[in-house]
This record gives sequence, structure tokens and C-alpha cells, in this order.
Amino acid sequence: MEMTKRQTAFRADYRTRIAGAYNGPFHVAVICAIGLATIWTCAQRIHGPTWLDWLVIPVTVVGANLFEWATHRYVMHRPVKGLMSVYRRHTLAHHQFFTEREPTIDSLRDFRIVFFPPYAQIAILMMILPAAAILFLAGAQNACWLLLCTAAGLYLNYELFHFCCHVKDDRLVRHIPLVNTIRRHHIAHHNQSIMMDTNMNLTYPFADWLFGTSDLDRGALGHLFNGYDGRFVKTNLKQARSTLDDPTAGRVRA
Amino acid sequence: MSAVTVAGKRRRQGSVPGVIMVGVGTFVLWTLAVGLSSPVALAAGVALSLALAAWTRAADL
Repeated sequence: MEMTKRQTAFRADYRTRIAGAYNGPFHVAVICAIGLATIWTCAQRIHGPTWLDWLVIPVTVVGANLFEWATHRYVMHRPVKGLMSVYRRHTLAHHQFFTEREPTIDSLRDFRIVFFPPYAQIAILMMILPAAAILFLAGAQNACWLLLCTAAGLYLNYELFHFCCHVKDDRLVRHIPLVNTIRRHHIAHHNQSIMMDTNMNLTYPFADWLFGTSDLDRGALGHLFNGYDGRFVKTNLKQARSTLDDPTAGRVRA
Repeated sequence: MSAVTVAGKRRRQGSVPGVIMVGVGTFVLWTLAVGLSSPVALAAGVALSLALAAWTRAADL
């Protein structure tokens, strides 16, 4: 599908505004360094965990999936007071830059619109700290460090999967299980007719299945391993009634 | 003014807390990972934190 004039104009405009000092691979390196350093630091402190300690991992995975779904649906796509920058960056920029017509990057500088800024990673880790502190103070030190390891790992998982959604299609992303699932799932989400309430997961579409916000009509396992299969896509999804393909549509009119 | 401009300008205004978070977060992580047992480790931690914070600001992240 060809890009609309509006998307083309938005991309050109956005790219002129990326700071000269920005470097895509360095941005990714910083994210990886913070994530891996957190995992390494916390893993060093784990000694002889019990099965109850290990139980923190699945609980964190499910909790993070629900958090990812809720944040995407209620913060990134809704103008919430105090969190407007998140809404602007996501709905007003990311979703204009990437649409279901053209959901992929063209250069390393486009990493700027794919990956979160590093402070988001620090903020997520800070949000985990109270729960980790409670575990630590309750004497479950191993569970505390496992929680932080898992959270840091899931953040990297999120960034990797989201990146895989916005690279050019090739045999790798098309055939890797789970990656191909989230790629189809997320690209469908970039359809502006359904982006406000459909396909809100970005790693594993578990919460979308659980809350019925997926564009697929199938079970949990089918959701996780759907890949590019389009046979189960619901037929009653919202459709755009009309579109304004005007490159100046995003401009403020006095 | 385009939507990008609006998003960009407002984001830049809000980037100072982000820069501080990156600087402080990096220093805390460095302290936990390497420790501050020597002046060299302290200096390296401070230098790394300031460098990352400065780049974050310059790159408008």
C-alpha cells in the first residue's frame, strides 16, 4: 500500500526535527546497557532461591503484560493530565509516522520514533522499586532481585519486539514464532480506525485476548502463535468512513 | 505549526526531568554494579552519568 500524502509529509517534517546529535545505534546501546547492567547487578545478589522466589517471574510476566496493555490503552492513547507528553509522543507522532500502509523505518535515525527515550526505562525501573523494597524488607531478598531482573528483561523484550514490528518484512521476522505474531498484531493496531482500543499489547497479546480487545477471534494459544495468519481476523472491526489525505491536516488553523 | 512541531516543542520543554533521571539513574546503577570503593570508580561513575545526561539533552531525548 502506498503512503498517504499526509504520512509522507509528516515523516519528512519529523525527520527534519531529529536533533543532529541523535544517533540511533547509540540510543539502542544505551537502552541495552541500562537493561543488561540492571540484570547483571541484580543477578549477582541472588543466592539459592527457593521455588517461591522463582514464582516471582511468572507473576511479573503476567503483571507486566497487563500493565503494558493498560498503559497503552489508557495513557498512550488518551490525553491524561500530567502525562500529556506520552500521549503526544505516541498518538500524535508515532501513529502519524507509522500507519498500516507504511509501518516500517527507512533509516537508523528513524530509531528516534521507535524506541522510548532512556528516561522511560529508568522510570519503569523506579516504578518497580516499591514492590522490590517490600519483598526485600519482608526478608525475600532473592525474590526482590528476581523481580528487578525480570522487569528489566521484559523492558528489553518490549523494545526488541516493538522494533521487530517496525523493520522491513523479511524471512527472519516472518518466521520467528511470537515475533511474527506481535508484528501482525501491532501493524494492524496502526490502522487509525482501530488504534484507540484494539491490539494494545506489544509483546504477547495475552491481555488483548483476556479483555477481548484483539482483532482476532480465537483462543489464548492461537493468539500467541497466530503469526501472520489472517483467517481469524474479526469482520466487524471499525472502518474509517472517510479520510482526509491532506499534508496540512496536522497544522493548527488560526 | 504542524503536529510534529507541537509535539517536539513541548517535549523539549519537558526533557530536563528526563535528563536528570538518566544522569541519576546511571549513577545509581553504576554504584550498585561497580561500587564507589575508590576515587577512580567514583570519578568514572560521575563522568559516565554526566556524559549520558549530556547526550540525552543534546539528542533531545
